Amino acid sequence: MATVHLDRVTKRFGRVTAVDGVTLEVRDGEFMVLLGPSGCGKTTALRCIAGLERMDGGRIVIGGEDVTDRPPGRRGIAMVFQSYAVFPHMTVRDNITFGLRIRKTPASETQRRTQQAAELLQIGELLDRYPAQLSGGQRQRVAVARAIVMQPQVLLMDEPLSNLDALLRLQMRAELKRLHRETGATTVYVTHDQVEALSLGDRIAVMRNGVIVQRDTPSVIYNRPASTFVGGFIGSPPMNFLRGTVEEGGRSVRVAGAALGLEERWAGAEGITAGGEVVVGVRPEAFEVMAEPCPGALPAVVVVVEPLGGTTLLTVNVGGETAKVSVAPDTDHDSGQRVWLRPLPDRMRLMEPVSGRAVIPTEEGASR
Amino acid sequence: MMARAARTAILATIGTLIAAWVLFPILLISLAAFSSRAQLYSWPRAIVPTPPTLDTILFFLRAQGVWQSTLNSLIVALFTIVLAVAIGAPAGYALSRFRFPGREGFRLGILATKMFPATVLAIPLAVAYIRWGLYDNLLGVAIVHTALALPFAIVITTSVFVGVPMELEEAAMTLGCTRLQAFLRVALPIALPGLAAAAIFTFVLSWNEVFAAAILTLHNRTLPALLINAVAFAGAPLDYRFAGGFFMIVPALIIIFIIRRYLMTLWGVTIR
Repeated sequence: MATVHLDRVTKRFGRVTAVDGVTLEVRDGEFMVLLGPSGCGKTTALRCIAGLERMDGGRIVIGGEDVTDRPPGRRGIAMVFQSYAVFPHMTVRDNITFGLRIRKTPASETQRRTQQAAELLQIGELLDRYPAQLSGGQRQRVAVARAIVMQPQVLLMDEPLSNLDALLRLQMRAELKRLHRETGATTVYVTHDQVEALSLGDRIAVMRNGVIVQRDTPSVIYNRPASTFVGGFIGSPPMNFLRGTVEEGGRSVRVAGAALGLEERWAGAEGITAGGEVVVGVRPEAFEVMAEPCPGALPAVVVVVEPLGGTTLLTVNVGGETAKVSVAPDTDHDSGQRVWLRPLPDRMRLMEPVSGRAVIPTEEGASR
Repeated sequence: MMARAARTAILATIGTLIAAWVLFPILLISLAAFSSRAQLYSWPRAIVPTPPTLDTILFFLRAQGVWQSTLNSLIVALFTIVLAVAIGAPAGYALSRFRFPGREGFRLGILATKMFPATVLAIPLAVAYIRWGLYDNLLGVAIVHTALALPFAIVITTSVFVGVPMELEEAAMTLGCTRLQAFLRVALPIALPGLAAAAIFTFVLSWNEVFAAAILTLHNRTLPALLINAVAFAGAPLDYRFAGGFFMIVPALIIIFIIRRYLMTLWGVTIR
């Protein structure tokens, strides 16, 4: 168990800067998720921690020791690859014991730890099979067992669930969470799946174009995105963004002809000036939907109604802009129907229209 | 359905014709190799030997120099395999794993060596070999065979190593291996069948090669060099020719049959 510290890590491929001066502190025992769209540099950042990429700048410190110049095998890490990378010419047992044999661990200890890892991953009865005789989900478990049997200071995972079918992915996700709780290993986990990130991470670092744009707990990332990018990338459907104009010296904002009252904290903020343009971000579930006009509610027309079982998703037109609103499944809505949407004041986020940044920057670790 | 049936029929016909083109001479040689000398010289000649006899084969095997040149051929083939794999496999590994400046040029260069007509090289090569003391030397023949086999060895081993994901070696490194250990413990064992195929293909190539072997040797003939000399200059009798041809073909046929699915990897296809 150890902390991981990335200090201004930079990695270029030719003229492309994949990771651009990333600094990140992973706490002891923490489950840190690197989240971002493909090509954002998250996997490259992970490979830098693993020592599989030669960095163009910066340092990696694991457990207080600078490992920047150490090969992968001497960093105290273990890694689970997207393709599992299970050795096809070895049995499951030989796969799991591979690292221990390289390290010349005594046979009795090797056996004990192998047994333990196999039990933890529930693959005890597969030990004498070859990978070709296993299903994708089982190979995945072998790859994880092979990593945790090393009792690494840091466990690195590169999109470990992306090759599994939806149901198995759901199951393995919970398994990984249980595993983390039982082993307590510091974990860095790369994914492009925001649901995975929200469900697994103690903290999430959202990456874009080689830099971290926000790092915080899942709930802060979800409720208080630092920018329109984060709000749009996380959540399914993503956050709604509506154009508005600041009025009354920052006490309200006019969107689609309706004045929405603002909480006091916005009034003095930089970027909130009377007549100034802002983007109002509201999560689909943060609307109160009403059948009658009322103050502080946006007039809208229902375009599409999608019952999703647990919730019903409305696609609405608000003053020419499209928004998604999720409502309880028992409510009665039809396309063409006029509704009034009241964004819950404490769930509204104001962003600068050009940069997309939140008007009040999210302080890391802030409770709300 | 009709179109598909017609397509199948046409393909089958073409396939049969090509197979016949290759197999018919082999069949004739094989039948002749089991005919008696009298039968071979009689006219009209019977195609099927009656009765089949081993006399012709035995006559060939007892002929002067046959066993020695067979041994020579095997020695040359062995040297060639060692050299071609020792040079070709690292080249194939490099091509499959690394992007380096001049990589495409290197690949093209490999093919370009195949475009150069060996006949043009014959005289300069013989002269150079005499000067270097490699003339009439089995190692010298093996070196030329290595040059001939290398393009194939490199192409085959490249595709073999492309088939071994880099992530496997990376996984081994995260588990404590050095770069070399990762190669030896993970990539090499997985690549071994493919490398064996490259070695065997090299063997066949060396075993059958006649031009360089005939030009560069005088006393230390390989089997093809001995045969071509006997047939072209010494006027060997028919039974010697047929038995010799049969003796040359059989090992190559058996080996190609065994490794045919690996040869397909030349084109990036594997038949399972």
